[in-house]
Amino acid sequence: MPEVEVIRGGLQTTIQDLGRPGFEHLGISPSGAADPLSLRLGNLLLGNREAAAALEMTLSGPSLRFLGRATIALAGAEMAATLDGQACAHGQPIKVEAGQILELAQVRRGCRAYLAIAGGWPAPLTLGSCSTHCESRIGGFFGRGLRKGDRLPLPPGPVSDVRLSCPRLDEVAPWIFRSTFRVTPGAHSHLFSHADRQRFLNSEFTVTDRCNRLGLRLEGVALEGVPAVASMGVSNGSVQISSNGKATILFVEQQLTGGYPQIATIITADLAALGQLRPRDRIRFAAIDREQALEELRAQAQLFPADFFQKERLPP
Amino acid sequence: MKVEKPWTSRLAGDSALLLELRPGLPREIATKTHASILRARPVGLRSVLPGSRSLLLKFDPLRLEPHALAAHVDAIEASTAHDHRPPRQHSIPICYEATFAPDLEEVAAEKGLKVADVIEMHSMSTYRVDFLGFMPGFAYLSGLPESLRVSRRSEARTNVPAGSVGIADLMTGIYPVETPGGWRLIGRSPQRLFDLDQDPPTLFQPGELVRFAPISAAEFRRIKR
Repeated sequence: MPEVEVIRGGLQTTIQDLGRPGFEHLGISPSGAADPLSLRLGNLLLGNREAAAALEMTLSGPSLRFLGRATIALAGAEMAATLDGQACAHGQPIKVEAGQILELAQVRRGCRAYLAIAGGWPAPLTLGSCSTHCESRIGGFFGRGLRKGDRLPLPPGPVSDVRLSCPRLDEVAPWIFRSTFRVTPGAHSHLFSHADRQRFLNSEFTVTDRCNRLGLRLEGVALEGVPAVASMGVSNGSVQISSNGKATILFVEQQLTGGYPQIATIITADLAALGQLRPRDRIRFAAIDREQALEELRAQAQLFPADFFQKERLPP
Repeated sequence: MKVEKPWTSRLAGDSALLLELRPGLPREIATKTHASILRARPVGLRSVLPGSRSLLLKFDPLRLEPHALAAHVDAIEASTAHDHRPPRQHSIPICYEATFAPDLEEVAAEKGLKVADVIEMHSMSTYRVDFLGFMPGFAYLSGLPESLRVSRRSEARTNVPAGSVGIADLMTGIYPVETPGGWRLIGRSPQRLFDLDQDPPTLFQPGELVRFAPISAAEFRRIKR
């Protein structure tokens, strides 16, 4: 089978799809693309299923030698790419011939770019998903990021069914490059004082270096009255407050149970934009009501053709 | 006769419903309700995350209304079928030596105990697996003696080594893989807790019993090999 040879792995390049929800009761985090919107866009551009696996490339991208033909597409963070030295654009299918080298540079905007491939990157399914969960070394390419010398198989056969209607990059950009994150109440909002809730909503926070797929630790105002809570299930996008009053946003490789109170939860429609935050970015939170949150989610879904979405169900 | 619902519920974000067990009710109800929800699988439900006295139901907000989900849960009768088999009991080796127990002295000092007392109390107790969560194979073990009750660290450690044994509140647990964590670390176990090639992949299952057997650092290294 033709392969791709990894010349340089990049900072953190992992195989991701839409994750493996439904195994949380075994302690298994859904994981999946940090910016699922961009993953979907890459797949749509190539006529793939929405959940086909792509390479998630973080801050500084990899260098890959294709040993066979393929059609690829780039989406997500603005990460300059060249194919045998020729610049190639994001947001459109690119034909790659055997022997060509695709080189990804540093990001110019955002944090994570996605390299989708027609047919999807082949990787074994672990509990129904190809996604890498780096922390527990599950899924993807041996449960880890790509390194120099790795060889990834290319998908077999040509592809069909290329879509005619795809959102443009500038239509997707406002959804993935954000500095204000909309929130609705978290599990413990009511346990915080009014003053602390106002402080939280009226402050600017800075993303610290402790920012990865597990969570984003923020620097900013310290809240004063942090309530004690029992260990409970937590979800992607929950903003939890440590005993020292500082905020952390739980993210795609999140731990599933937390013992810190959650002051707010980022709306589902803004989760993809978390995947584009990087250290030193400044962000704010804005409270909206649930109806508005769902309105945003519907608007976002309309970027894509309705038949692109797979039916979800809870695995056994 | 009016039967009070065992749960109170509220939204946690736009796509999760938190069910909290009413005070005084046994945690077992959560385990049974959890199993019943997984069997019923209402359309639009994505996953169920257990907590010490709660279940977090994650759902697709465009396909399922939280009110409908709550009504669905109320209609579920937690299975009352009695399981006559005695619960499986695990014996898990733990090394409590200082190199593996960075918080042991601090815990002893805070509780006014000798280090040896902490070790004895921790290893003489029998624990029950309440639920799994946090990380693959991490089991929340209830039954920690009240005299060892401590709070979590004010800020989580960025890297807790795999096998670390932690305590917090009235729970103890073993970190299956290296991960951030906020529990106080009082030992380390060489036991493997999670293996995708096994079915089920987790060593511990809800309802099982666990005891700890103290071992030396030399034994730890031997087992680890």
